[in-house]
Amino acid sequence: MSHLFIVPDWFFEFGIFLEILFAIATFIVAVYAYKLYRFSEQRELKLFSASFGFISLSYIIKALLVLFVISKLQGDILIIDLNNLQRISLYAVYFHVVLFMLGVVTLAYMTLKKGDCKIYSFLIAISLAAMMLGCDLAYSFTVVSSLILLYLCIYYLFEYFDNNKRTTLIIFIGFVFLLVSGAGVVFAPNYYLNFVIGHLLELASYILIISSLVLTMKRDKNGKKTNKT
Amino acid sequence: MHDILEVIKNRNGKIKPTHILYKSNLSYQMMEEYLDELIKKGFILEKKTERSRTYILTEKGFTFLSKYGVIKEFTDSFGLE
Repeated sequence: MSHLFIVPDWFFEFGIFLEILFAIATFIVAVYAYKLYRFSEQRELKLFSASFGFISLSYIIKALLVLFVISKLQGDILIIDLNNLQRISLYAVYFHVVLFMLGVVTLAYMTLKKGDCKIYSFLIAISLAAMMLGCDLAYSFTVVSSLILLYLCIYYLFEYFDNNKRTTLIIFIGFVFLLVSGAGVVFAPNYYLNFVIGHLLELASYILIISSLVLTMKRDKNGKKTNKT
Repeated sequence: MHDILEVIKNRNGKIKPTHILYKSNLSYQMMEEYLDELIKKGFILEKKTERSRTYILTEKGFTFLSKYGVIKEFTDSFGLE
């Protein structure tokens, strides 16, 4: 079954700009988390950094894929068919979905707080298999990644109930936006507006996550936590 | 682990195990486990003499203590604890 996304011409270049912006935002989070890992040698920080690193790389590849499409297609309305592998780069599509999936799975694994590589391997295998063996890659990818993002939303919601921190609440809302941005695509593939709204929700999501990062960096010099809601 | 490093720092960067036990209120076994992990991560060094052991805070340990606030804030906010 083919899956079509109708992308309006006026949004196409802005879409590429957004993909690059997402790549930069997630890269910043990955680098900062890795820097803190170097100071603390905390395993969870390493995993968190790796997860955002994978997601950043997936957006870079997606942006390159879109640039490739621009160079190949013409007309006012640009149609991208994820299952028509002869018109677009097969490898770029698979790399994007695999890397993004690796990113969210790594994030989910980090929340389990178990130092067991077997669990990690199992989660990756299950997620990739569920995605790759589906009839429609776009749907499978969106459904599987949405389920993992739903888990992450619930995790951060409970984290917020535990620690009552404003930054955790912001991160929770960010992940909710990320979840909705992908899920919306599944329910209305033929409406270009959902494609546009999805990207804008992703933008809002990463703005919120970066905002949380900035807030954590602005820690009170006296050591007082001014972050409670 | 942060508390143990703080105790060592407050003793001018050098301490004996008994002082850590006294200050940290840990069992001997727990203290040994934490110290092993701190050595493994490079935050402290163990110096053995014929009579005793001494733990010395490394530069990495000092850096960790100075950055601890930001690390804690980040790990708490992003649910990494």
